[in-house]
Amino acid sequence: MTRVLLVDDDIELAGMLADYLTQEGFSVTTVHDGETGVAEALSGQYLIAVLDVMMPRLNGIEVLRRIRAKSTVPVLMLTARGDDTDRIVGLELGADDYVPKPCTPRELTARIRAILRRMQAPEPSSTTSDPLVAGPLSIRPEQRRAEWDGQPLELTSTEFNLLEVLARHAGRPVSKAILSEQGLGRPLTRFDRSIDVHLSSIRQKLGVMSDGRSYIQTVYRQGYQFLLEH
Amino acid sequence: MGRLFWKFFFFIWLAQLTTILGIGAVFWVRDHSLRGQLAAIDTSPPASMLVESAALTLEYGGPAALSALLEKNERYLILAVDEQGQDLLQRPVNPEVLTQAKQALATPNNHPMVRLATSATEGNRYLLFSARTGGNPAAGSPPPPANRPPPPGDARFLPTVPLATALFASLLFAVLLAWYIAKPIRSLRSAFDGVARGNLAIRIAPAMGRRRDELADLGRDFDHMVGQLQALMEGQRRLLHDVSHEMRSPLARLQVAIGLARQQPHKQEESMRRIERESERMDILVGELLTLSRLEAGVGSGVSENIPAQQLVADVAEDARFEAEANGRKVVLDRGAEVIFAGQVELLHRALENVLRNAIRHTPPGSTVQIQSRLDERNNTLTLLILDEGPGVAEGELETIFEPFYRGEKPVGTGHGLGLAIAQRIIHAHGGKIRARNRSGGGLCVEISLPAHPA
Repeated sequence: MTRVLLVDDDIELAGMLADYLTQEGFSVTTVHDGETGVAEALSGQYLIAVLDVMMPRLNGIEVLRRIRAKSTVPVLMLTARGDDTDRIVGLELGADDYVPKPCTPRELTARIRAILRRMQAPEPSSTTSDPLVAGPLSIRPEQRRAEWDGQPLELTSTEFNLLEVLARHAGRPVSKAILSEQGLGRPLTRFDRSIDVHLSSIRQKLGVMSDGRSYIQTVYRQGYQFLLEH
Repeated sequence: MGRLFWKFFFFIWLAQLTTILGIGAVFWVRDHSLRGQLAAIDTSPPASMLVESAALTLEYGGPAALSALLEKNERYLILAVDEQGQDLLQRPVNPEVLTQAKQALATPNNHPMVRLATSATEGNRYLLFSARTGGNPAAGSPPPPANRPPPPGDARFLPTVPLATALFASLLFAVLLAWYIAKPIRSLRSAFDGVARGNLAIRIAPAMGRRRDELADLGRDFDHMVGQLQALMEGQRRLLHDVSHEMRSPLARLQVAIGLARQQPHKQEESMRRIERESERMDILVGELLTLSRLEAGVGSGVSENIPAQQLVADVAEDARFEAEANGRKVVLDRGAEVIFAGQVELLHRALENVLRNAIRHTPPGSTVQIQSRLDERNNTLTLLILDEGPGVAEGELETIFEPFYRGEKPVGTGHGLGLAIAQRIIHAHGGKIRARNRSGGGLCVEISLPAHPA
């Protein structure tokens, strides 16, 4: 059973969501304040945490910051619809995805499944023993580990997925639609800047090329490209 | 520099120029009439002193001594003319100047610059006067050495240095004065521009500095106005934000309830009840918001009537008591005062009810909410105290609780935090005051003071 942690101060809503998700085959634990949320999320029992941003006292952003300080457990944020700052700050802090609230429970379930799927899916690669290498980067998808010049990279699962997609197409541009499909597990929607935010945090974790450029380049109107040095 | 600056500048400058020209003209006319009288006779004090001393020299030393004196004197041309019209040193004498000197001598209050002196040795009489050099060649003055630069105060100097100084000074002060007046107006204008563009953080007091006049007052009034506007806009913005956030929670629950109804058809009845409840909550919220906005726009619409205070308070308490006792709380009411409020009965009822329900919600089970009346006959006000035994409010938030959507640290119940905000607006609309303070023994006391007159 997939264990899901639901952090939301609206007790009634959380109860209803838990009911819905349980029917969908998840095992849901609900908590109603940020402090408990952090403690539970760091307990290692959960495969994913769903976090409401608008909470009194310790808000979702701060909860996320505290979780990310110690763990890369996947986090799905519930953000206020129309509030871009929360969303972007959340993604920058390493949230894996967000769902604007109010949302249908079906959409929430789909997003949770998408994150879990790309995190768990074993790569159907024939060369399981050989790492995927692109420049200084080497990725072992079956172990979900990435190294940069031999040093392990600390990536959230979404960042890992996106980097993997780019590395597979190293030297060629990858469209945002493909990145969204393969990296986030959902189709690209208009005005969605999640990919850009995720990639900007990946850039900060990678080194730079000998000429000072970042390995991940924006290709105008085409998407992103992982550059290979000649 | 704007038009205003140039207008001020030109008018002030024009005024100063006119003054300078006027004063200059007066002096010129006076000077001219004096000169017309004495044409080429030097009237300056040093010249007349020399004439005086020449006269004394002649009287006591004779023509020889005078000649010696006159030869030594280079700066002023002193003529000594005998009765035959000959100068003692044989210098040329202009007959006109001689005539003038004779006329001047004849006038009753004789100028000291023309003297008739008698030589002590020969008894000859000489006319002594100082002829103007340089400027008037008719004076027949000899070429240098007498032709030195004239002393200050000479007529030729007058139009240049003082005039230039006056001109410069008038220019300078006109600029300063015009700038002094035009500058605050310019900063006011740019501030208005800023406000029109939506920047309400603009203040012009710093630009005014330590100025104290009507313009500075205008600036301060402007700042005050913008501050008020800013607070109002900020309040509206926050309200809108709060409202949209507040609507979001019931909407989120609605959506999940609908999802549940789809997912679990056998629990549809329960889901429907939830959907109903959420839509009722939204309806109440919208209703309260409308009340609030109507109150903020000013009540106006309703008819003012006389409301017996005692009856009103008893009604509100009775309504609330039913709900309170169902939850194990008591409402205790004192005798009240037999006075009359003027206002809209349903609004006042609502204000009192909101405050009372708030108290009941926060007082712990088994405790009591008290309503006390205090009549101040001198000021014709009735103060109602609503006292609960709950946790009270942090000192810093005693005023915040009357703001929309305030719900405290630990929200109790399903309120939207609009009740007290509505109560406050109603009380204010009736010319009353409402404030909260913490009771010494714990709990909150809300004081409502309303104008009242005897029954």
